[in-house]
Amino acid sequence: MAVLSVMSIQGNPDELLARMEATLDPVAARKAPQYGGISSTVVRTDDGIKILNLWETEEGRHRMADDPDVQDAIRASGFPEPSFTGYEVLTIRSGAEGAKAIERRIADEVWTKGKLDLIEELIAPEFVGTSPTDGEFHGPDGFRQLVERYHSAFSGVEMRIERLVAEGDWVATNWTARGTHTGELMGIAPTSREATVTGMQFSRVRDGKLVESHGLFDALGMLQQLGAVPAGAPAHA
Amino acid sequence: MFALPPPRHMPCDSCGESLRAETAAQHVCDDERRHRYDLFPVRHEVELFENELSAWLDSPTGRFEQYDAERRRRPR
Repeated sequence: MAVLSVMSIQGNPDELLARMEATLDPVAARKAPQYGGISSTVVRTDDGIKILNLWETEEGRHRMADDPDVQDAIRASGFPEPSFTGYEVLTIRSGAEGAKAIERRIADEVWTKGKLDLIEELIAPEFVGTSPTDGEFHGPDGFRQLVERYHSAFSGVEMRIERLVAEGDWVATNWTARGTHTGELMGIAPTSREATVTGMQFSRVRDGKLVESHGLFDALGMLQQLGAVPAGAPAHA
Repeated sequence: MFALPPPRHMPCDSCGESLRAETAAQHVCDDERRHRYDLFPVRHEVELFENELSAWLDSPTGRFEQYDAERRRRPR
């Protein structure tokens, strides 16, 4: 369960912030990720500053506070004794997390489970997608046609997200997809071979829907696996 | 001559399962999967044969042949 710790320090806000940047910040930047630190926000108050730190767990917060390097940095800062308050976090909503959630749903529910009715919910009417392999496709209908094209060529499609990185309203996705080639694809007759391909894309989210997406995937590797392009020695004989 | 690098995964030549290059040598084919893979190129012929067989089994001759085979199979 995530926790939010609120630390109040009295004094001149600008001086406190400058001292914090010189003494505490370098240590915190190194140590916080080890203890499950999610984010840190400093706000100005009437009599000083408040530091709002978000942690993955209460235990991580305490382990950070007990770390000898952190204690040294607090002493070096010369801060007056701070007062702490901890709060259990019930929900966290951020643009970046929302963007990641949409990409996860598209991979898990649309591509893997074939829930094409969710496309209207996740893809904006003004959506534009581009890829060297599939060209440009527009809106929910264009996205649906893309999914249908691959679902008709491959049975048992599974798309797994390997990495997701989000900043603001952009999200970068690295994925691996697998499926068995049981339908015609780009003029290639079905082979019953299973193919595994990796790809990545950058997508932008607005109002909870994808508005653009620009992707690349290992089309050459896919064609090699389907036997349409030579691929050196076979994996197994 | 320009040579394309092999992809990280390639399907097994015997059963079609996608294999990661690093672990492909340890792969053992699943019999059922290999059977399905072997039949895939002749799936249209198999389907045609099954349809023709079903139609024949539904015909008067086919029904009689089923009755006769069952009668001869039973111990006297």
